Amino acid sequence: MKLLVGSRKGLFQIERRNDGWHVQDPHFIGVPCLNALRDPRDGSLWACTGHGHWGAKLYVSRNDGADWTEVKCPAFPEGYEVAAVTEFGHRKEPAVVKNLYTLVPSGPDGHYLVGTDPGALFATTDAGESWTVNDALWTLRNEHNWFEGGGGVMLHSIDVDPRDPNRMHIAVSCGGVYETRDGGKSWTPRNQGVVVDFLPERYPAYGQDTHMLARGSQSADVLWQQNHCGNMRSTDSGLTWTDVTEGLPSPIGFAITMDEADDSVAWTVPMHSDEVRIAPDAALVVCRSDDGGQSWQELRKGLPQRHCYDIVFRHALDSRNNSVVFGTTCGNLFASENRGELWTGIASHLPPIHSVKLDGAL
Amino acid sequence: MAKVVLTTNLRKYTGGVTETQAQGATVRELLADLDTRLPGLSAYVVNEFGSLRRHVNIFVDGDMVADRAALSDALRPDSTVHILQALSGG
Repeated sequence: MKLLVGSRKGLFQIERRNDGWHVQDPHFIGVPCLNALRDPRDGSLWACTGHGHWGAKLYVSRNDGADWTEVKCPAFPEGYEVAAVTEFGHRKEPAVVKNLYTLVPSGPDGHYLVGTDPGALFATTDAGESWTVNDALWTLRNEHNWFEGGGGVMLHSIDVDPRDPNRMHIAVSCGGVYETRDGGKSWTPRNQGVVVDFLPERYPAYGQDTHMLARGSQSADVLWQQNHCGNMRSTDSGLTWTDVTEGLPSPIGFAITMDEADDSVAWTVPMHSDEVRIAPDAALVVCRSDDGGQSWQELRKGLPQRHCYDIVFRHALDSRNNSVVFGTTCGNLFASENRGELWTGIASHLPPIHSVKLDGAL
Repeated sequence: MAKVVLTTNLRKYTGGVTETQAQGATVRELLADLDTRLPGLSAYVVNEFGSLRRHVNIFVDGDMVADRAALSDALRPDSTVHILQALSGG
């Protein structure tokens, strides 16, 4: 088993060999790596990094991390503005890409989609030589007044329909879920039935704080989301959502992942309230549903159950087959090979972890 | 030619260069010239619109630039320009 672990202080490649887990020295030491993935089409590694001083940067490695090349970063053309929120009111300013939250291979080789703060979707067809911002979604962003959560206006989830690359869902914190069926020419909010408790209207058409959106590769019409206000599941490609929060220790968390083969199975990592943001009762717990969210099992074996203040960010939980892995804000990394029934600590004292991906063959 | 002194934190993006020369009548022009000598460097210093990144400072002959948005501050041919990271985080 191999892992890609993006952290506040760089990107780690971690591998289990016959004699145990090996953590390589990090790439981009000192530089926050918000997300990383391997492109299954050509084996390239991609890293979304964000310097504290020098801006967002995108890197690719075509030799398994031995060398990295900086790729042109998505950027807005002139004329794009955002209404920045300051303590002195809204202020119009040029739209600048602050962070890259997700990168998704989609379509032929060299085609990628990137989700950014401030709430924009970019596409490249030449492996990052040039980027195009999706204007239709950008227009809706402004018409629908997407607004900042703690991490900016984050377009963090891009879920392409495996049956048709012209169909995809994206999710934004805060804005909710949107779908296109025409390759991004038009978008429709898909938030029917998704409750919010931080707006005057409990079921608005958009404005939800979707923390993470998951779609399996087999059952493309089934979506799960971990929301600021609970967990939701859709069986009709997001047209309607059912609240499946009941049975969880807490409605709030960031991460959710679903079983690729069985769309009734998903894992999430609840946290104690949006005010406190620690493991519920200071005891780390992963929850799994095997029945489409009708019930949840608490999976605690092998996880710290006293004085644990870890939470798990949205991209820091991954699953494939029976393997589930996650990393925490306190730099702890856990894996299970039996669907979460038993957890093994892989590493501790890593930097705060932003993303975890199962990499390559298990 | 103006003398340009770069923060050592930029070394890994400049091939180790921390001091060089560049020309321009303004800081903006100097950065454009600098980018031809150290390709890609300006994207670390300014954003895509040429405005100084929030946590970066430029000093011309010891004075912090006044125009962070357009970097129109004038240079003398023998100016010394420091490009430094701003303190952020304590």
